[in-house]
Amino acid sequence: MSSSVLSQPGQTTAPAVFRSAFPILETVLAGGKPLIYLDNAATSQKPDSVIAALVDYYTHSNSNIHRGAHQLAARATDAYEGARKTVAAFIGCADPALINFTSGTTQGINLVASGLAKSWLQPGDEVLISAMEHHANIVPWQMACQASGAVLRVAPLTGQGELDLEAFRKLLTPRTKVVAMVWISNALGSINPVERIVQEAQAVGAQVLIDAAQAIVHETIDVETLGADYLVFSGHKVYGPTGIGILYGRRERMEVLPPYQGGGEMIREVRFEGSTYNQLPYKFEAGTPNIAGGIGLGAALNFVTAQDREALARHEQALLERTLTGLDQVEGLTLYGPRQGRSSLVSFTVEGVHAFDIGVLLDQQGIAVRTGHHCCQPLMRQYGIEGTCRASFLPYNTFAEVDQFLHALNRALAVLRA
Amino acid sequence: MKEASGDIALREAEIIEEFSIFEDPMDRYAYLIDVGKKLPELPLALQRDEYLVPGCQSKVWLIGRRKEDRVWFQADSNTAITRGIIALLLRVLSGQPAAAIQRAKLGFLDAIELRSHLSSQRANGLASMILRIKGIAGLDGLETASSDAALPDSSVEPANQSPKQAS
Repeated sequence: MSSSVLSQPGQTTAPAVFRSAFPILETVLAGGKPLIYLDNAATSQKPDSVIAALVDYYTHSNSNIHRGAHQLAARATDAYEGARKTVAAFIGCADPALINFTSGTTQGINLVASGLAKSWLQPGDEVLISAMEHHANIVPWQMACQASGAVLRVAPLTGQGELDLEAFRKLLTPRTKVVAMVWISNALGSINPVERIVQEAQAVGAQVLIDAAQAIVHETIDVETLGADYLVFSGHKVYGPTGIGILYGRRERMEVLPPYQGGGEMIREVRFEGSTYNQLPYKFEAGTPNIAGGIGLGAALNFVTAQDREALARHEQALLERTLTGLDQVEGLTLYGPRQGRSSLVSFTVEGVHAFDIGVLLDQQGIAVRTGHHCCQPLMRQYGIEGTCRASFLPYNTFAEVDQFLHALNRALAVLRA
Repeated sequence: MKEASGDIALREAEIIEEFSIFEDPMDRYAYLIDVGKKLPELPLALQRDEYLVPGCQSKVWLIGRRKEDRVWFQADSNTAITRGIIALLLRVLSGQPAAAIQRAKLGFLDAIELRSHLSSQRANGLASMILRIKGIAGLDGLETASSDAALPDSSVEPANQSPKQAS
C-alpha cells in the first residue's frame, strides 16, 4: 500500500511510518484480498520490536527468573524487572513494586475482587458498577458479593449510552465500599469521567478499581493524578503479547490485600504450620510468571512512548469521524454510544439485518470486525438486541481502509436486503 | 430424478453444480441467502429453547421426526446466512434413511467452500448443527425425543418436507 493513501492533505505521514512497524498488516487473505483489520478493540497487532523482543528473549535469555545462580537467570530477571519499571513509568507510578504482572485484565479484577471479599466487604456493603461493564468487571464482583454478603448495584446509562452521573451519585452512599468502573466501554466507545468518579467514590469511603483495558492504548494514564486504588489492563490491547497484564494498586491497599494464589515466589517462609508471604509485588505473583510476555509488554510500551502519541490520536479520531460520516448515510443504521466524545470504535446494528450476517459478509471482503454481545450481555439486553457489529481503529488504520469498510458494508447490506 | 431420497450424494452433487457458477464469494453468499429465504419458516410456537442447537453464534432451532427408517427435519435460524446453510443441509438430509444420515460425510460443504469460509467459531456452529442432525437420526425410533411430541404431524409429512428439485 503506497503512503499516498495513508494521509490526507495537511497531515503528516506519521501514521504511514507507524503502520510500517506492523508486519501482519501486509497479510493477503485467501482470495487475494488484503487484510483490513478493524478488530482492534479485541486485540491490537504487534510491531516488529515486540516480536523481536520475544524472539530475542527465547533465543538469548530464556531462564527462570529470581534466585537463579547463573548468568542466564540474571539476564532474564533483569529484563523482566526492567519491564516492570517500564510499565510503572508508562502509567506514572513512582514505585515499580506496585506493578503486578497478571495474565490480563480479567485476572487483575478477579485478584482484587476475591481479596476484597475476604478482607474488606461486609454483609450489607455495596459494590457499585455501571451498566456498560464487560463480563470481566461484573462476574468477579458477583462472586465477591456472594462470598461476602455484599450487594451489587448497577449505575444506569443515559439514552446516549454514557454513564448517568446523576444516577451514579444517587447510588453512591456510605454503604458503597467498592466502585468498579470501566474507563472506555468496549461495546459502546463511551469514555467515562474517571477522575471525577474516583474522587466522588473515595469521598464516601469506597475503594475504586478502574478497568483500563481499552483506555491503555488510547489515553495517557497517570495513576498518581487519577488516584484510583486499583487500575488494571491487558498487554495485548496495547501492542503487547497476549497472556500478560497489569494490576496497579496503591501501596496501602496492596499491603493488606490477601494473596490471590499460593505457591512459589509469593512466599517468605513456608512451614507446615503456616507460611508468611513475600513483599510487594511478589506476594501476588505465585508460580513462574509469563516472563516473555512481561518483556514483550515492556517492549510494546517503549514502542508507544517513542511515538508522537498526539499525532496518532488525531489520526485515530479522523478515522473515526470519517467512519461516522459514512455510517450516517446508511439507512436503518443505529449507532450505540455517544456521537461526540467517543473512543475510536463504532458499534452498530442495521434494521432487519443480523450483525452475524454483516460480519460474515465483511469477512468475505477481507474486513475483520467483531459481531456479537462483546461480553456485555446485560448491556445488550437493555438495548433489546443480541449484539452489534463493531469496527475499532488504531492509528495504523488508514482512510483508504475506512472507505473500503464503508463500501463493503454497503455491499453486504445490499446482498442481505435483496 | 424421481426418487432422490435414497441418494444423498446426488443431492450434494446438485448443490455443488449450482454453486459452481459463482467465482466471487459475495455472489456465492448472495445465492446462499436466497436459498435460505425459501426455507419454510419454523412456526413461532416451535421456536422454543429446547430445540436450540448449542454452539452457534446465531440462533438455530432444529427438530427431527422419524417415520419408519427415515428422518425428516424442520429447522430455522434468526440469521440469513445460517438459514441458507440449514436449507442446504435439510435439502440433502431430510427424508433420508437414518443410517445414511449418520454416515453422510457432507463433502459438499467443502466443495462449495462454505466450511473454509466460515471462521472456526462459525464452523463450530455448523459442526454443532450436523452433530444434532446425526444425533436425532441415531435415536431409536425417536419416541423419546421431546421434539417428537411437540411436532404437529402435518408439518413433517414427507410431501411437505421433501426438498425442491433443483431447477
